[in-house]
Amino acid sequence: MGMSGGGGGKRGRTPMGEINVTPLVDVMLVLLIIFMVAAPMMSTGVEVDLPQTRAPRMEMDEEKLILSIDIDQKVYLGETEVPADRLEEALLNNARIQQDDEIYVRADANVPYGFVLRVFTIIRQAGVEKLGLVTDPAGGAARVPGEAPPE
Amino acid sequence: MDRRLSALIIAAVALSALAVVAMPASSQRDEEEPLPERGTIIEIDSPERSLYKIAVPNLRGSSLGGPGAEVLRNDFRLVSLFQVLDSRSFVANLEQEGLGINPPSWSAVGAQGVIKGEIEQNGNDIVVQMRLFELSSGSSATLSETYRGNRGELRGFMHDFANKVLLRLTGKAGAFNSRITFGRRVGPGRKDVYVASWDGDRVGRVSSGEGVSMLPSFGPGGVWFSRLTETGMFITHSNARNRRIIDGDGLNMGPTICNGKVYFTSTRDGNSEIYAADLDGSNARRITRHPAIDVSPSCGPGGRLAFVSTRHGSPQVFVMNGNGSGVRRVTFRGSHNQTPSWCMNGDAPLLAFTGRSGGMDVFTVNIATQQYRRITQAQGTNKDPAFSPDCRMIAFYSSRGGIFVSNPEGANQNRVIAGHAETLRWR
Repeated sequence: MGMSGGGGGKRGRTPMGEINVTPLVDVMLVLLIIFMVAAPMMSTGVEVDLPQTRAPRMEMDEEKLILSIDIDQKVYLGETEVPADRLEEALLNNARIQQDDEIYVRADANVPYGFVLRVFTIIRQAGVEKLGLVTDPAGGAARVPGEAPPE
Repeated sequence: MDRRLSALIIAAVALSALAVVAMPASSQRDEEEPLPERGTIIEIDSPERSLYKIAVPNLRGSSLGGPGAEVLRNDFRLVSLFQVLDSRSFVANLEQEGLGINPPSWSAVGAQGVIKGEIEQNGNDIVVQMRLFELSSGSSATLSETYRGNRGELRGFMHDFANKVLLRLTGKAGAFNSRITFGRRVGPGRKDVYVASWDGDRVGRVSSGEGVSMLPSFGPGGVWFSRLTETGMFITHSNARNRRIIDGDGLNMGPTICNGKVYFTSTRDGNSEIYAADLDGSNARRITRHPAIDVSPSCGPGGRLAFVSTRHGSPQVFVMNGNGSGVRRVTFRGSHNQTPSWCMNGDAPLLAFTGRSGGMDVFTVNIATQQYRRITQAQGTNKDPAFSPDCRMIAFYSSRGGIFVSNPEGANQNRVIAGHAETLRWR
């Protein structure tokens, strides 16, 4: 990588020829793997208006841990609401999140991006590495009566 | 230049990130590769993974509910079979649930089992309802107990319920309602005998608080121990009010009780030998005959005795029958092994002992297979071990600052009783 030598090479010092991988590794370690999945049928009792996208259909598994955020910004683990004032400590100390290192998030299409991101941050701190964003398959069964049909 | 380099790095990172992002979405779940077939594969993380995840919210109905639940949590943590879930993670509506559970609320926090309890307090009287729920069995309790008594008995109730939870989950009851007795140096030329709940609650002195009392053991009448006099030592117990139960010339010390007899070490015939006597001290009879030193008898399963002898040169642990027959050496590693203590209720004939190699450390040996296990590893001085009655834990004194318990593999070492201690017995 001669280009990084610049003026330093004149007095016998040869320019560093290797990439310093440490910052690279650092970046990799904080990466959260995010993938999108479309869930045709969800059995959680939490009503959420999912965003519509084209995404691969997910093999739905009852065992997966699902976190839902409804239109009122209430957060649910499975079917159980997590009180807003305890959201952070409840998620950070959740043994299942720490162990599974995978969680599926169903956030309502109308929840502010900022709020969703706040939840993501907590989840990541809790040790999750894979985050599944659950969406409504475009062109799938209409969920809300009167909703504009997908193109 | 620098900027271009960092742009390059960012691009590289982005590329690799894309690669990993793409993978999980497209890969199939059942794509797990079969393990290569070559030799043993050690799963270093499997012990942790197999811990049973249990949630123990505070008992309801009384301010005693918090301390009560903490007794259970502490039992479960120390026995090394459970992961006690952090109550900060709980999302269940405890008010609504009462003594029941809504299973999804508990599986969401990873629980496999949930313990619920309720205390009805009326002055000093308490009625405690306890329930165990296993999420695999849905919302009906798989264990249900009611305890009545006074508030001072709450810890005992909690230990008892924990014992039953272990019986239910493992087929073998716990031993959480047990006690540890030990000697303690309390000053120059002063030693006393103490007894405490194994978890460190209620540390109480057994001996009179003067002179030297040491080498305790559990037996009928309470805690038996040895007292030093100006001319020797005699054996007494906690209910005998310093009466000399076993006396005689020289030193009479280190009692251990089984087969309806007291076994002890005595120098009455000039050399240190092991004797057996009736529980009232009569009919003392010598059972070892060897010019070497024989000391530290310890009762084991089936009335067998372990003891320490120098008959092969250095101090080593031997076993023999209750009548002194069948003497056999059982420790063959190290040049100085002492203070043997049996596992009384295990599948294998296990002995814990102190080994001296530079410092002192605690070891166990399976005397049938001669498999040794090192419990402590040069973390200061560690000595005088005792198995818990169910053999799920080992207690020992450590110069780290008191009595520690660990699991039989030496993992999960926690201090339960602070302060100096020696020659532990656990029952």
